[in-house]
Amino acid sequence: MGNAALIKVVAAREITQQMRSKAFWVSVAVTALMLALSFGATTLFQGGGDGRSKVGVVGKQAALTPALGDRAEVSRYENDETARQAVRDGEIDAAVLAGDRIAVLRELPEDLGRALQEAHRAVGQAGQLAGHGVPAKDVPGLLTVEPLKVSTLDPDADRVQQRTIAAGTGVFLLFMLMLVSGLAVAQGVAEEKASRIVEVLLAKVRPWHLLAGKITGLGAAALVQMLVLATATLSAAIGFGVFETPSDALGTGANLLLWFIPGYLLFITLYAVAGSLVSRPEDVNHVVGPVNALQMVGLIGPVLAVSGSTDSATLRILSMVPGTSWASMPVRMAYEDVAWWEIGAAFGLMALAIAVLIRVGSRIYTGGLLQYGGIVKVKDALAGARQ
Amino acid sequence: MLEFDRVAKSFGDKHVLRELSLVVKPGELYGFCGANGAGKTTAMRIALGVLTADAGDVRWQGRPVDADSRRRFGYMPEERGLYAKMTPRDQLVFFAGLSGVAPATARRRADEWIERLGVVLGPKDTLEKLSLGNQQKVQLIASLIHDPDVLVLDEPFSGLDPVAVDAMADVLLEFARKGVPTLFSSHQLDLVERLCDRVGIIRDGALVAEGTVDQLRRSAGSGQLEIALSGAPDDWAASVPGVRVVAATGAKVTLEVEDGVPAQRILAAAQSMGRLEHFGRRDPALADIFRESVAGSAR
Repeated sequence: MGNAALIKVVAAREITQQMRSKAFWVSVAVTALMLALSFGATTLFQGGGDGRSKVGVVGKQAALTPALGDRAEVSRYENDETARQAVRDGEIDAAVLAGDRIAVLRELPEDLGRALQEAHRAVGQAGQLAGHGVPAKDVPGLLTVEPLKVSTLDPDADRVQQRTIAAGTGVFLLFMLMLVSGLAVAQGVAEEKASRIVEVLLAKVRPWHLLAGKITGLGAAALVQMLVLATATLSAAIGFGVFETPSDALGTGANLLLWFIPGYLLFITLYAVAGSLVSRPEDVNHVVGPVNALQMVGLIGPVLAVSGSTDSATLRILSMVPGTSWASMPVRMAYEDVAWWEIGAAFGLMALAIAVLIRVGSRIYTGGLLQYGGIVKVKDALAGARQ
Repeated sequence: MLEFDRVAKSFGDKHVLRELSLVVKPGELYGFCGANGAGKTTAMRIALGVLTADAGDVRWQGRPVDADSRRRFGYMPEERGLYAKMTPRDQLVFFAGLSGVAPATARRRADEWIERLGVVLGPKDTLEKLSLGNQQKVQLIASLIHDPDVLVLDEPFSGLDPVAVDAMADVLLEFARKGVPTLFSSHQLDLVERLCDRVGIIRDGALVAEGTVDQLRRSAGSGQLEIALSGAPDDWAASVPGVRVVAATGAKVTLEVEDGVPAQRILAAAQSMGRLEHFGRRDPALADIFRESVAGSAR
């Protein structure tokens, strides 16, 4: 039997077991649902619903009503006290009192504050103009000033922002997926070791066949999971109108996937190696900590990009370093033109890191698998592999 | 023919195997006996490539065992290893697949073996739902399903009820008849005595006795006599010169005879004490030979 055939048998078992696992499908369904809902919720908040503020006016402040226009719903009150009571009772958001004062329960919302001040200024200026003998019919015309127009020099600004957010969200999704399948790999390796199945397996295959089979098998299962999630997420995002140009989303998605594959290889190998160091599945959490932490560092880049710090040097460095580049580079590529040599170097460094890791990792894995008693030290596992 | 040729293995300062050499011929059932920690499991793990030897070779058909030939071995480790959450049938197909058996063939064979060994299981039962005895049978099937060229079984009978022991013994004999060399370790020496063509006793990593059970008995010396008398005083044997009483149960005594003392003289002495009901040589059981061989262990 060739190497490929052996790896295929190992991988097929992993895929079948994953696909038959209820937990696998429940986690897919729950994550997909959460993502779809989060897009729905975002749209809802952005739309704001019927968010018109309610304002109470006392006496002469009723003059503000036409100036506020449709920016607030205005009610009149007899005196300051009834208006204050209405604020306390939550009937209105703010009351403009007789002595040019605004009463709010705790804080004046910024938008409402601006609207009230503008209305107050307009009414005041109209009064001053009238005082200077300007006929009432001319006042609105004199007070109307065309607002400054903003012109966006980058015609794609919105698209770039959407792409960046999409890439950031995608990376987070893949991060979760990697975390879940990474833990599954570590747990699976530890279980095989604890139940001594590994002895039967090693009588038939080499450790690296097992490692490669696990990585490809669980990788394929993760891919299925990801496609289901991506379909659900993209449909929801496009459905809720998050993207102006759905083709951008698909392009960003494809690029993410391209970078995810080497990232996945790197981390899953680390998780498998970590799993081979423990003797009991319960101890897995103790050894995957450092791998989880390294993965968390990967999220820094996307977070910087999404929060607008796109020219950060940290982000540029993270997009080149193996272990974090899988997450940062596709996000960078979503908002700027990255030089081809940077892309090539990041990919090359990643490939190099994987090659070294698989070589060293499979030695630790080999040595770790047949040593028992607590958590095996990496040094002892390497020494064990030489034996 | 499976050969261990001067196989040595140490873990740190501890020499676990010291130039172990033994041969299992085609169709032979070879019983591998030794106290706990004598090196049996390590020797078997080396044969299966789970561990590597520091020196020496394990050969199959004259050539050092390699990955391809190993896949044709059937191995049952001492500490059982199966997937708890998988159905027995699925994992048997998986293990067969690792030895190159096509899934359809593996499924058919799995069903046949499950029926033959009487593994009690529901169609959707995962392994963990089976009794320990049934799990053990599944483990044996996992080592047989690819119709192996060689069998290496570490304590295959431990934990089985007498019916299952008989079923498993039948299976081993059937493979032996097909010419498959079988090396198995066991602490159940009565079974080893009953089944094995040859026995090797290992102590501190080296063979200290080897041969057929008869050969071992002969070499252990048959200096013991069993005599039963009626109408004789209870301590009659104490007055017979040249013997030592090893055991006395009812009318029967077991005597250790000093070298050079002829049996006829003891027979005559016995007959003079009472009516002779039984007189014969007592063959040492394998257990006695084993105790003798492993006594004086270095550790």
